Amino acid sequence: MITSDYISVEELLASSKNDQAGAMVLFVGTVRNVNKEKEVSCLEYEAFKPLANKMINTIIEEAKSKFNLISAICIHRIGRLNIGDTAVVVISVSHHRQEAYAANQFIIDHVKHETPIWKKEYWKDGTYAWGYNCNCSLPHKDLQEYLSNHE
Amino acid sequence: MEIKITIQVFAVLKEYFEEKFEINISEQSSCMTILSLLGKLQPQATGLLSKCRVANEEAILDNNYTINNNDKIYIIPPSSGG
Repeated sequence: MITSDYISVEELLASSKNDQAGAMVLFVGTVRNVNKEKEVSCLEYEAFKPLANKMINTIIEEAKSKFNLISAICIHRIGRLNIGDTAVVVISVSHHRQEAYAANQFIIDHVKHETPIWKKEYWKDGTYAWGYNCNCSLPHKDLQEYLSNHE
Repeated sequence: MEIKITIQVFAVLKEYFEEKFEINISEQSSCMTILSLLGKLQPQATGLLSKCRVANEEAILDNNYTINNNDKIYIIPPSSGG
């Protein structure tokens, strides 16, 4: 889900609790103060909301099915964010930790690479730049691959 | 024969185009044709446009999708969320 409101991690965690769950994995993406060796002033996120919401829902449903999750959520903030602000939250809830970890990675990777969300980075020297594809190159492992690499 | 469509761009593309504008194109034009046409309007954006996708409000469209009269389409630059 795309929101322009403050994201309360505590409230999202509380709402994700489930008696069937043996694991909850939380990813919080925050605004850091340095990028490309330059001091960051703030970020501005923009999204094509109708399509971004639809694509995030599709990614969540795919993750729930692929990793047998009890539940999963992904919330991405748009608008101007300051250093330390929460930009994105992913929570994956499952019976066991392996699925929750793998699903969380799957969700954030797909959201970062595929959904129409863009970052404009303002630096303290007064310049700015639009972000392109993130630098992370993690493959979208399925659970079997994940487990075989971590046993 | 020509048709009229509305184009909306996002993010870095707004450095090259108005955020939303109307344009006349040839009937039977595809998404690929639109990106090529935009590149002719703003040659400096050609490299960026080659990495862009075309969408409607429901989905990313195939490059060969045929644009219809009065369609509203969205030009999607590479994502950079997270």
